[in-house]
Amino acid sequence: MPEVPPEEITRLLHAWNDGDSQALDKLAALVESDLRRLAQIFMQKERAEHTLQPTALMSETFIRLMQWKNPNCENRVHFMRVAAAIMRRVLVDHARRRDASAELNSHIKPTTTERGANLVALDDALKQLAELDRRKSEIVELRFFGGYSVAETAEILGISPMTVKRDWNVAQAWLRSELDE
Amino acid sequence: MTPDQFRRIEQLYEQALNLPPDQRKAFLDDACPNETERERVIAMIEAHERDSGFLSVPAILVATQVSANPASRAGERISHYKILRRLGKGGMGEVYLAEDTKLDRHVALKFISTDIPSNDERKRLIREAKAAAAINHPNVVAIHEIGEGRGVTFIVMEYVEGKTVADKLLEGPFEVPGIVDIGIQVASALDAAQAKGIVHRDIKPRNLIITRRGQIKVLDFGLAKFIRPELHLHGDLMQTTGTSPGQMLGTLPYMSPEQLMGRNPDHRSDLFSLGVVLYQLATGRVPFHGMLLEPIDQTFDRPIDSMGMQPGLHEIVSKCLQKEPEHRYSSAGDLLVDLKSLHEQVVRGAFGGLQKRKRSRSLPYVLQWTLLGASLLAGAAFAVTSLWKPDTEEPRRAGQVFVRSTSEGGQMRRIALNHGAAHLAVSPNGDKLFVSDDRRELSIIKMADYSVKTVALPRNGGPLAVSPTGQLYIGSSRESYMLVFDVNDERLRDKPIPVGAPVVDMAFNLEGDRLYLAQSNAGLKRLSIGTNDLKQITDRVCPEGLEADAQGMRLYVAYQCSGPSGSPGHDVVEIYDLKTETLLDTVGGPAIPMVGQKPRIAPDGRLVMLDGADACGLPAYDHVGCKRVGSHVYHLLDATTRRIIRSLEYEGNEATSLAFLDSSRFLLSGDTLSVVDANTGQFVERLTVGPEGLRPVVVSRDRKRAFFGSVRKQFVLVFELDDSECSPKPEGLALFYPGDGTFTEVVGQWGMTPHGKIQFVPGRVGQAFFLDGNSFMSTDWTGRYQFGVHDFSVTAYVRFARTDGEMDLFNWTAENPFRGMRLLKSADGSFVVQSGPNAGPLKSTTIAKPGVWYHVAVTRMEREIALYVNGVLENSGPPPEGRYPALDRPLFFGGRDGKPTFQGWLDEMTFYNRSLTQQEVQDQYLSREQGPCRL
Repeated sequence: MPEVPPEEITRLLHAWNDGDSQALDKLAALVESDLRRLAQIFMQKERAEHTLQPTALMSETFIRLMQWKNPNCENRVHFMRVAAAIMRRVLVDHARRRDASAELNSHIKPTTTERGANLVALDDALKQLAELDRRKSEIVELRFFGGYSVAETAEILGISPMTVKRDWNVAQAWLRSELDE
Repeated sequence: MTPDQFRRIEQLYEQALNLPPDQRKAFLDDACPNETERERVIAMIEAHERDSGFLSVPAILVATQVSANPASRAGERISHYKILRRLGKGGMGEVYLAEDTKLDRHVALKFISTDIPSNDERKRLIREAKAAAAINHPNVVAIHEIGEGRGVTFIVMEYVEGKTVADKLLEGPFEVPGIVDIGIQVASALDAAQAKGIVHRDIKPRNLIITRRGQIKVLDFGLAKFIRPELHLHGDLMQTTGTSPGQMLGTLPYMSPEQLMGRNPDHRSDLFSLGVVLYQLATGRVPFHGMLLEPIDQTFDRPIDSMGMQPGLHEIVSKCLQKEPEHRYSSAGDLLVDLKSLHEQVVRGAFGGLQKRKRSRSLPYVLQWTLLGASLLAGAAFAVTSLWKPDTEEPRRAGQVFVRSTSEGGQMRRIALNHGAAHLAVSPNGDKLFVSDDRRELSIIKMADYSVKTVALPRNGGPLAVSPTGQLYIGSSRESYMLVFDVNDERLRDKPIPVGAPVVDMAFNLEGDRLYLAQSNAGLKRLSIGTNDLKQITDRVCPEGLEADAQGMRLYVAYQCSGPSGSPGHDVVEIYDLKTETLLDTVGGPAIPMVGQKPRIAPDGRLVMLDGADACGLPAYDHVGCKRVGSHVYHLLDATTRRIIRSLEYEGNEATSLAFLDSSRFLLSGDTLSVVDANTGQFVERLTVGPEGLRPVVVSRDRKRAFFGSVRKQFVLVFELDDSECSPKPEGLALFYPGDGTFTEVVGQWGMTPHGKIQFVPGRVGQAFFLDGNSFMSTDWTGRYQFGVHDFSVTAYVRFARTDGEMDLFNWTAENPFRGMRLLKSADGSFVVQSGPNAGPLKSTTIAKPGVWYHVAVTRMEREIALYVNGVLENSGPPPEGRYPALDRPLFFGGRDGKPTFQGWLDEMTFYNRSLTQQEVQDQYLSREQGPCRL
């Protein structure tokens, strides 16, 4: 695994903060293999018996990871966003690969339920939503993939919790209807 | 769709939702001419109504739920295999049982991670796995095939039925012959692998399966890299992975230094891992603990505590556990040679006594327990423990005596002796305790100040008996002289008394003018006190134990493999009228097998419990020496009719020792601790006290105290049996001090309900290791405990502390309400309870000072979490919302000095601010002063 120079991370974070949305993607790519491994660990079956706390997974482990690589970084909110984005990529990629063997995945229903959401289809729909209303797709990414609460999401995006709730509501409904088609 | 359209749809959706359902359609027809848009809004509303929980469960949980579905793959076919069912937690992890439709046989299918970086890498790993498949050896789980297809890779293996060594470790201790046998089998497997140049990399108890016949099969050869995610070891592993899963941690204790340091392991690393496994089998613990928190180098430089392991085994294990691979065995073959020769030694020594069926002596270790005789006065209670090996030339380990006096508030004292503690006697007025083994030493412990005086004996010591007039008679287990010791003067009387043969057991009559001697080769004799006349009562050989009832009426003598004048016969028990010395009856015979062990008499003398044989007639150990198979029989004898009125049969491992609790109940101990109604043989109360068991058990004459000994951990638990209301008193506390600064604490709470149920709630049986002064690690064992009407189980978990004082708790079971809670020491030195990253921390007012011990406890009650430091409530607050089950009543009490200071679920974490030296542990724990860890 190639070492990521700490300056690079800081640079990308600043760039992203200044409005360069690509920077977030680049950052995610840099640390993805780490988080992929972590996510994989958490997806082992043995773990599944215990209740996972997604927020713990994301912010705690990722922040620690970042701090280890880049001890001067303090920007927790940034990390949380990156973490959610990475989690999304990791989980969706994993789902895509599993989808490749249709027979063995017949238990994943194409229709969505609370528990059995088809992550691949959701990811596609979410990308569409991003084109239509970026903020809503970010909220979904943070809440669903990052597992953050309404309050945390509001803090990260710098909006009010009421706004988060309303947007979330609409986004949920839209995605569901999109996936049902 | 355009963003503008989306905005419109959003608005319409929100507006429509605000209307009552019957008005929505009309509104939309009106407000939304565009059919596409309208239909979308309608669909959204429907989606909202139907499934407002959509996406409410975070993705990570969704993903794990989906992949964790146990039935997920059952019934599917892949290649020519038909998946039958998941094998679950058995020997092989996440593996499925499948039917090979081509060869009509059962196989195990293991699906492996598809997340391998590149195709080349994957191909290389497959090649490796295939090479491993070429190891053809009875102790290696055979790999039949590696299949690929449709994005999935799987391994087809031999299907092996059995438990893993990890599972067996939870069930109980292993005996030396069994451990050596396991070592031989695994070493053979490693030898075969080495010949093919294969390194396993992941030898650990979870990867060793024991079949029913006792064969060991090593799992996952060459697949370590394939099955597990790559372990990236950058310095501090814990930092990298944060809340690490149990899976990863499970491997670490077994990894060799070179593996931990990131170097490529060779076959000698496997030998290291095998050494760790053998160590764990022998002692119940892993040898190296600090590895996560200190430089790896240091961990392995520390010498390994032998923990009383058989010396031959210790030698071999130590060689395996050398830090430098060059210092270990250079090959599995060399290790095999040593193991095999040890095996011969051990088997010969251990089972050499088989012919005589001396059960207790066929074990390599003997834990001797002695209940004091008739005089148990002044509220003092005694128990004796020692580990010693009979029949060998090995120097014996020193013994220890634990004394607990109720008048002093329940603290346990541990008194170390220079010799083994095999026999006990107490002076008539209870002020002195005498301890001996078969060496030429006698220890006298003064109860007033627990001082120990050792007296040299001119002859070898043995069983002890105190006459009512204050003379201590010391039988010799090796020579044919008896010594007499004056209790008051503390001097030996002049001349030893010749008694013709060594003595195995002794008992006085009520008046104290006659002493009955059981002599292995010379039968039963009576010594008249004063005249020193000897009278032969019977020639029957091999008496093993005798006991006189408290009323002075009867003498019961148990024989092993007896017969008049040496002729073979069955084990019997003779019943004598104590006053006339006439034989009243002989019990036992072909129909009623006995094993000559000391008879146990109920306090009122009416019932006598005799030891029966195991159902198969021999002390049976299964092939790997794990535990006894077969059952243990006790015969209940009615003293008046002298007939066996009942025979009680128990599982072999639950009934190794027995003691009468009162006239109608007795305590049975083994792996479980049970109270049994003597008349019916029914269990009144049954408690399991952990996988190591507590055995044997002895109850004091005044029925106020019960003593339990741990086979593995040389300590005693003493419990008050209290007839009052169920108010558990935190007085069961014992310590074990192996001498290197570590200690084990077993804390339990006792109570007896008005209905006569004994309740025991052991606390944490754990071991704490001091690392760099700011951190420690402790491990716990699985146990199942019963408390009143609650059943709860605790699964094994690992707690560890980092150098900054933070501790993480994970792997809790559903019953545990502390998920996600952490106990920390903050930068300013206060103790902090934090639950999850969001909830506000609960802070203590105490600021931890260096060099001082603090006992920190966190409890959770129904509406609040409380933080206690040294038993004093310092802060409390509301528990975080959400996931924790509400408790409707507290589960048990704890307190100081008998007063409850907290109640509820109790989870204690004890914080040590710096490491203590041996002397400090000695002073703080083993002196009379209060130790810091009292509840």
